Amino acid sequence: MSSPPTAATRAASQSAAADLAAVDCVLAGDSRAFAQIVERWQGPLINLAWRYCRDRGRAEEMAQEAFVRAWRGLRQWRREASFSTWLFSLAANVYRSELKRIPPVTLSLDRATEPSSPFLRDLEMDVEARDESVRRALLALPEKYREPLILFYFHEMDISAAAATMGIPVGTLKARLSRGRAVLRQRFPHLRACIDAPPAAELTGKLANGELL
Amino acid sequence: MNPKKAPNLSSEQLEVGAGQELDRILAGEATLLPSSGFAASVMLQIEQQASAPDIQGPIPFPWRWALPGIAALIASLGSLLWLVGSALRSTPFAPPAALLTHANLSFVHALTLRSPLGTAAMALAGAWLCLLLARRMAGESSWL
Repeated sequence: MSSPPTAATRAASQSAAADLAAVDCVLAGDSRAFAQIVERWQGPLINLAWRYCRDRGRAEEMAQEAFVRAWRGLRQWRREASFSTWLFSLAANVYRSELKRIPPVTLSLDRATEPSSPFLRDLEMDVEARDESVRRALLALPEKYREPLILFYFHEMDISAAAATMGIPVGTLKARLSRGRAVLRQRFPHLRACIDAPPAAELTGKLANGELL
Repeated sequence: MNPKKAPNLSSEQLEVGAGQELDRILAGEATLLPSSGFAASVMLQIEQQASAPDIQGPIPFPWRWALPGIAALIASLGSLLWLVGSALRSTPFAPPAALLTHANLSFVHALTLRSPLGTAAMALAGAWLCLLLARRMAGESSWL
């Protein structure tokens, strides 16, 4: 017995139908119909580009290039996969090529910031800054491991969507994800340490009460 | 995940927890909003490309520039044949092996066919013609 369609499923299906209609209009010669596709996908494409380079200006430039390539290559969409899968795959190729041409400014993995003491980490560096250092360290990984991680988390941890975007088997993607995550965990021991450490609020309270002094 | 208190965890449990922490960091990223003019900028670029002449089709063969080259090639082949033919006519009863000896050819024919000077001059002329045609195809009007 099939479950009733959820709101997300209905939205995805409506989006797919709208994409299909817009693509048909563009292929019929109405290039302005492409504006609907740009409106619908500008957010995801810019966010994906951001994850590749972590530079807002460059992310928009790369997303714009991806849209132009999509417009030029619209006839190459075979309609076997969904439009979004084709678009993300094309965008990932564009971003990969762009970053090979001009690599993003990144720290090497060895120079990524690591707090000196796990217990004082949140006092030295707020959580967001610490998280950002992990995200930036992701860019320093070898491409083989970096891109699966970027796409996996971009697709909200949907392995099959990430594999479809990269055009590789799910098993291969899983292996690369596992290796990439292991490298990051080795580089950031505080990811392990924070599991058995008291949370920041508790530490701050103790510091205020003079218990840690 | 509750990271508050987990004493005496095994290394495997710590690895799992670290993986969950990594997931939280990498999946929980803030979403960027596109800048206000982004869609307009994309559409402007697309409109410009749509109104530009189609450069993706096959490039037509440049017959206009190729025809003189083809004519020159035919003329040079014809001259070569004429040269060989006249050499043959000048020695009507000679056996084929003896045709290209100094004794059976006139001085001019011998110079043209046997001397490296003639071959070199023809090669230079051919190369110059090729260069000239290539420059004209590339749109350069000067004659070197």
